Amino acid sequence: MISALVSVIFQIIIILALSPLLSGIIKKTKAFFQIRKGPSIFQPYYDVAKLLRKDSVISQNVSWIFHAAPIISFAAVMTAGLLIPIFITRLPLGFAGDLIAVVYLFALARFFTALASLDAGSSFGGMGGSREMFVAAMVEPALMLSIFAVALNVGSTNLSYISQTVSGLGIDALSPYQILAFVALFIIAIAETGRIPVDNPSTHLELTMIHEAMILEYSGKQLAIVELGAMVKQLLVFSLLANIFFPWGIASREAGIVTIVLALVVYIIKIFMIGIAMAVVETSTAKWRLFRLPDLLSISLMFSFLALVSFIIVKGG
Amino acid sequence: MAEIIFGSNTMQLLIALILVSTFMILGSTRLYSCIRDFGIQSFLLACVAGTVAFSTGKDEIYIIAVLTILFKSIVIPYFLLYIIREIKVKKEVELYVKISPSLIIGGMLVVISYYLIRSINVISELSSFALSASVSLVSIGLFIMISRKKAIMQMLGILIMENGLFLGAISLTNGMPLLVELGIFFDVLIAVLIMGILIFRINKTFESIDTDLLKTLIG
Amino acid sequence: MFFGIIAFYLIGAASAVVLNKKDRLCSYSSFISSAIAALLGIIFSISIIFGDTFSYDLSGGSYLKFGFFVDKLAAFFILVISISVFAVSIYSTGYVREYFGKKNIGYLGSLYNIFVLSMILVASADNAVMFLIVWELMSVVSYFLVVYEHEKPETRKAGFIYIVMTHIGTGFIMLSFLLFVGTSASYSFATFAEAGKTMTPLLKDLAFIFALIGFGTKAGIVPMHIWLPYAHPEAPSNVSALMSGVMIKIAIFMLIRVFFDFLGASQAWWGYLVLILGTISAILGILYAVVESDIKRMLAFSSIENIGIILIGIGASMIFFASGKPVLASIAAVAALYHLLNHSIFKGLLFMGAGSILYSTHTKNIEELGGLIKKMPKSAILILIGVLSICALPPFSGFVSEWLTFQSLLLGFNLNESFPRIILSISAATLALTGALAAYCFLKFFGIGFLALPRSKHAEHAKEANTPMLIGMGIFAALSILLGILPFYVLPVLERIAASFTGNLESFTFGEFATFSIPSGAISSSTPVILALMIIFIFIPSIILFLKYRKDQPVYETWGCGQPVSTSRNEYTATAFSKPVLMWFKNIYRPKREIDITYSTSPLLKESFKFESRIEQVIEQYLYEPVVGFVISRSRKLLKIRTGSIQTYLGYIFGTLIILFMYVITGGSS
Repeated sequence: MISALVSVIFQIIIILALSPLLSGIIKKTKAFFQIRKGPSIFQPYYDVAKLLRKDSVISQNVSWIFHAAPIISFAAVMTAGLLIPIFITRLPLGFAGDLIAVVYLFALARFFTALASLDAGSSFGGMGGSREMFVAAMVEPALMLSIFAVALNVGSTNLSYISQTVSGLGIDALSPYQILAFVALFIIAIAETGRIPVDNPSTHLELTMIHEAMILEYSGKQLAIVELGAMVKQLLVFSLLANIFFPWGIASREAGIVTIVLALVVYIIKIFMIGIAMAVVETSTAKWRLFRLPDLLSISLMFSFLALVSFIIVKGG
Repeated sequence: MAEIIFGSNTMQLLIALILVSTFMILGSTRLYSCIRDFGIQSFLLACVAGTVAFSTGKDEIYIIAVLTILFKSIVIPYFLLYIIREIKVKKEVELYVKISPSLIIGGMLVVISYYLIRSINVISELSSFALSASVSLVSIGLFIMISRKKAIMQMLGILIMENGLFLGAISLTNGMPLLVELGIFFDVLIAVLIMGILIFRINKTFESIDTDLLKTLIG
Repeated sequence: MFFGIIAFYLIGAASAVVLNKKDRLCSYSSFISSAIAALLGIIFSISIIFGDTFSYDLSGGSYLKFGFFVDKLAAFFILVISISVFAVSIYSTGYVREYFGKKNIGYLGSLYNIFVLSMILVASADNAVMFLIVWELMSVVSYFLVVYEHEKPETRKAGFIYIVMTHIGTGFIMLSFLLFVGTSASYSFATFAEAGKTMTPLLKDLAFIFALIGFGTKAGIVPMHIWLPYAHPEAPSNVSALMSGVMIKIAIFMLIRVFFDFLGASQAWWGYLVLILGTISAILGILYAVVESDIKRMLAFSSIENIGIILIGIGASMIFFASGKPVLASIAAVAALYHLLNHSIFKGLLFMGAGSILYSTHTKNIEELGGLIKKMPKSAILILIGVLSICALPPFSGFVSEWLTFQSLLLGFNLNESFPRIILSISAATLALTGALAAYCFLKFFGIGFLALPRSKHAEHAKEANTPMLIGMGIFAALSILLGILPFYVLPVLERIAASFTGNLESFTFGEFATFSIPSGAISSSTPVILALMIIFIFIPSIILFLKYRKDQPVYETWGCGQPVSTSRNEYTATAFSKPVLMWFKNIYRPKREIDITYSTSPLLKESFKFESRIEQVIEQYLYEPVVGFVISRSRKLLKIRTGSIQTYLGYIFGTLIILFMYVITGGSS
């Protein structure tokens, strides 16, 4: 019981501590490719700390939804964080939900953010909310198919179980369907974390912004919560990628302290690798037009479908 | 023998990547990236050949693999890029069927190929992945020829079909006799050259390589 | 007990007629007596679910024996009906105040009671003839309820489409039943199950198809759904809540009865057909719901979607059952029943919410709403709960049932063939798209309707709904939450019900911390834990924020994009909000736009600007209109036989008689 509690709290701390760093590293990598110096990798921490000290300016049109939404979204994302194996499998709370529950918790977070975007009555907010839900609707089928492909391979949607099984398989886990599902989920991760070519996280131009448009009315403490929530979500999406497809090195719960520390180091390396890969993708592609995004996401849909079909072909039946 | 090779993990990965590259061609709207993806596909095919050579120990398949890399992933893509540069064509693939429906049709073709291969009972279970991939490559190549306007894409389509046939042949026979392979290579190369010249002619006549314009020839 | 229920509904109906003149008294007497009947119904059905089946034979000849038969499945549906009726009746006492002095309350009250009674009787009929009589009663009474506001032409049109479609459906139901009667030589449902075992495969297939079309019409399965988006929005909101929440479920009840009990769900392709139709219904229903700006019509389309989700569960269950996997069949059936129960509750809640909006703003056009969260805060919270449930967001009720539906589709991988695996996973992907679009749709509903500034005078002068209405909605909202966080208690009950037709009892296992799991790959879920975590995580940042909050938060107006003041005209409209989906699926919607600009003197100065955008109902346009056109043109030709002379008509009768004689003579009677 105590060890479970400790590991839960430890996981919360790790998630909160790592997610701004991941953001910083992605920004730094992008700056490197754009031959800029770029902000320090610790800049996101300073940003959040600064925002937490500031007052919020609040629109006079808003209702309680606007105040509650950032916190509810944040809570949903953090709850999802406890269902995802980070560096140990056999999460103490892993029984409470599986991959599908994680997807729906993210949906809950998105729902409230989008709801708040409409609350201030600005036309930007509505635009952002509408686009966000549009992208979400495109992501969802591909996401579900790749979940199916993964679950089919392992026989479960329970994330701890998936990580455990795949890491137990060793290098044999690298099968065509895993690769195809990974490609599909990588594209989905781009969309879920709001990166180029789907969304541009560093723009405030009304033609291109999605996530930024939604949170345009937020400031001060609430903005800090929103930003932190977005960073945590990014970390979690990357963790999903890492621990579903490359869970090697993850520690089981009975493992000793040395293994756990090692697993933590491996995890951090994996996450940063994915972050850097994401930054490379971001710098090497252009932002797509909103109505070309269905094409991108149908590519992802097809890859996850191919993953399923190739599983069926290879395994026969 | 074939079962062991084509059931192996490496082989399946390579075939899956070949399918990925095919869908990249199907899903992209830029001529450059289509040609680049074709080059990657051919390279992966050469890797397949190399793996077969490695596990069967037949040395002549190495030659085929090297030739594949040389011609299909270097010479032909380069030649296609040269054509594009020379005739200063717009760099977009023009489509009759939009990207999303194309992809869905491609996915359906893969499923159909799988059922087709499965209905032919003689083939062992394990090489069926390679064979379904080869049939899907052939059918997707044909589909690309039907659904794209630019003459270059027709060429690319036929090359993808040829790659599919190559994959099918190598997975059925563990490599055909060297002479046959060389003959095919020669054929493909000549075909590409002739088509390239044809594209130049089309471009000269119509000042475009949009095959839609060929409709005006019916008089 | 059962007769007590009937009696109270009859009392309600009768008192409404008697007290016709006194509006207030009439509404209380009729709706309170139906609420009491509903309470009795809840107790009655629970006693049957945990006890024995109830059957009662009315007297009658040997050939046509009327009677009641309530087994666990029927009891479950009576439970669903009764829960909904209880809440809706309380709501109605408040809602009908709108009609006081304008409309005849006695008419509404008595028809309402008869409508509910007919649904209960449909669920408990044990005989095909009696069933058809009460089924017809249900259809006709609901027709009268749909045309309650008959002074509006669109209501009359809706009523017409409804009555035509529902009778086509009834025709197919009769055909299906006659096929059974042909084998069993009896109208009793008990003998139908026996008949189902001895029928030839062809007859079984026909009976399946006819039943699917017949009951599918009532359930609103695409492509038989076209009446639903017309009829449900036009009825008074309390009746819409019952029609969408309960009546279409009765059709699902009969589908389960026919497919499993009568036909034994023996063919796998039946399951595929049901699954595919369910998937199509789900996606098409929500696609039309997303772009709809009439809130009640939107809710009606969303009912089609949810019926689709229920059918996905039933279809998967049939596939598993036919493949000899009763455990999986039971899980899928539980998913379907759970979603059915949930939908009757949150859809009832949302329809009542729409009724409250209509009551206080007199408009159901979402473009004219806005800012209602400040005018009607209590209703807003209740409706938000409904919205969160229907979007299947954890830990509300919709989440549990959609989670179960996904899991039951995933379980298809325990089958050995490749075809069901591919079909089930495509269905799951479509279901995921449906879920995301549902969130889109209801985000639009709540965000545009309740948040920001009011967009019209209607919305500005909105008032909070009255207490009975809030109580009615509150019951449903509470149930939505409870069904979400206590699946632990609900699932065993549903398991028993599913076991009554799939024949398997042990499908779920329950662990500590209110976990429930399915017997495959350690898949489990526990919504109470999710809720607890959410509360903890909401609590901590709130405290941090609260401690640092200054009392005088700077408040400023929203940036008006350069306008001097930000007004409601700056807000995003509902149409604009759902425009991306319209663009994405323009092959399905086929939007038509008309732009009409009139210029004053100079072409640079626009005097007026009219923009109109319409979408097509694909199925109506390309399936029904040609058929209707064909039927009408044929009928015109047939008019020739109407000569007007008595002799000709007698000649027809004579001719028919001779033909019948010939039939008997040639031995056709055998």
